[in-house]
Amino acid sequence: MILSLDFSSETPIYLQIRNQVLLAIAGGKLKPGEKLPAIRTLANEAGVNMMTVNKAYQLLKEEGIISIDRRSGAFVSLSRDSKADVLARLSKELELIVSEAKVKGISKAEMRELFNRLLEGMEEEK
Amino acid sequence: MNIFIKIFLLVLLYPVLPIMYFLLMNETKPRKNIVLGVTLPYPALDDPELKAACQQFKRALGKAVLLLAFPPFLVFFADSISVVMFILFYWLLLAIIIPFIPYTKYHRKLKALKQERNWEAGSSQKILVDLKALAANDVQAKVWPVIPALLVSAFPLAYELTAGLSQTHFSILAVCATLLLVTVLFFTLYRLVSRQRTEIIAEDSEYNLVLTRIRRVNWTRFWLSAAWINALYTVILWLSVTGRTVFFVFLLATALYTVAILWTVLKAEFATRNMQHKLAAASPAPLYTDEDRYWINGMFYYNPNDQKSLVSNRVGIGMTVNLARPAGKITMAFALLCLLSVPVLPLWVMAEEFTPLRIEATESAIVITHLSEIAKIMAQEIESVELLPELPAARRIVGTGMDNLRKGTFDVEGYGRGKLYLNPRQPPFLVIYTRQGFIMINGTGEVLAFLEDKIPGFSP
Repeated sequence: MILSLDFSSETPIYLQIRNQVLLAIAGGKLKPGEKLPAIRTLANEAGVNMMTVNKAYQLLKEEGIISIDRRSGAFVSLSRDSKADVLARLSKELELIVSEAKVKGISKAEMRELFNRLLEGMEEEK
Repeated sequence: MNIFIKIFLLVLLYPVLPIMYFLLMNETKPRKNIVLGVTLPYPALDDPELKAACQQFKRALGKAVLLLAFPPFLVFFADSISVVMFILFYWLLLAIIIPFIPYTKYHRKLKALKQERNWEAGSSQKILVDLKALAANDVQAKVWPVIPALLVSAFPLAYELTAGLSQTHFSILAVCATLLLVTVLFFTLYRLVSRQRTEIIAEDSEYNLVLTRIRRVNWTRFWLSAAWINALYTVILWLSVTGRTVFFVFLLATALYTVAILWTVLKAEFATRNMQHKLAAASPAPLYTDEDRYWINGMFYYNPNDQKSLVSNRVGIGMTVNLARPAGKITMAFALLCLLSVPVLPLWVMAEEFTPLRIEATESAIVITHLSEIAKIMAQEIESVELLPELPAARRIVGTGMDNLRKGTFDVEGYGRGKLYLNPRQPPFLVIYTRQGFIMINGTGEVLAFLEDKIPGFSP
């Protein structure tokens, strides 16, 4: 799985790491149980601060996407949060996205089409 | 000067030229998708203009190498060691620098072509990291295979230090310490290989994983072998400078050392390159990043965004430093200093060879001067004096041993170890015994008169 970090992007690096790991899991490129590089190794490889990688990993851990063990490192480990909890969190996040789309003049039909395309894309990748 | 020494020096240094030629010629073959230090998109590799530029570069390089092919043979017309060294060392410097002139020219030409054809590969502010390959390769090279090499390399220095500083010579300690430092450097590089960036040539992590492993295995093997070769050479050199082996053993060991290091480094590089080429060709989705903006003339790496001090070299073999890092700057400064010492050394030897040795007598002492004052023998220190019509056979331990100059510590047949400050072509010779040992000098008229006056019973 290739992580592409864009230093000229406005998105912070830790968020780029988090987003791309999430996308890779959703797309089946990273599977549950798969090992992730150690914080120091990834920071050294990408030429970023260890705190940046640590922040991304902590965020992924809080979201129940990875687990971090002091001895064996980080693993993809989807937590068994109740579906209702996940839906509630996603609903909050989507509310913001939908509001932004409305402000920018994107119609409901366009949003539906975009959402369907993304879901289909994920199905294909899997 | 002995013809065998000339042949030996020539055999030792001449391979630099074919190696430079071979390595730079190889830069026209796409390494990943880098040609003459310029990153190109895969379809551009078949561009006719690109191929024509590569052909022109090959011809220019061939001409440069041909120009450099003959000057070293001038050594067979030179008699003095400093002139031989002057020819060979200056040639060596030119053999390293000149082939890079056509390289830089055609590198710039390809860069211009790339810009003209719009072959830039998107944002070069991007860094690609293969998470799977990185996680799987997160293994440090083991320390234990190098420990015995470090101990072997440290033995001569430890032996000399335990023998007592008064018994040994500073330059012997310096030689042992320098070679030990080289072994430590090889050990450090051996450990650093596993911290080098993961290779990315494809979307599929399996390809990146295999290539990264192959590169690391080959280069850890190389640095391990180099540490061992250097450790063994340290011992042989120490045995040679302390007079425990014959000079021929030292010559043979030096030749073998050079051949072994060259052989192992080329083996590591080309095993990795071949595999890289095969894997890139086999990959269904090849991938590359354009980092050209961080490479000055395709040779020097300067990337402030990269925290790594060592990266894989783009031109030639092995690794290079990141000049944006302090460690990179220090290493490059040291390398430049070493390169600059190449033209200085023959000039120093020339000064040694062509400056006459002056042996003068003052009111109370014999003063020996060569470039600067090197010895002063006070009359009251002299216990006895012996006059020799011929110089006995002598073997240099530390110092200068030329056809017209013996300066330093020597083992002299029938006399043991002592100091020699003389021109062997100018008999007679004097053996001056003091409490510290003996000193051999030329018996000039001035000195003979001084000794006759100061030493009771001495008559030339």
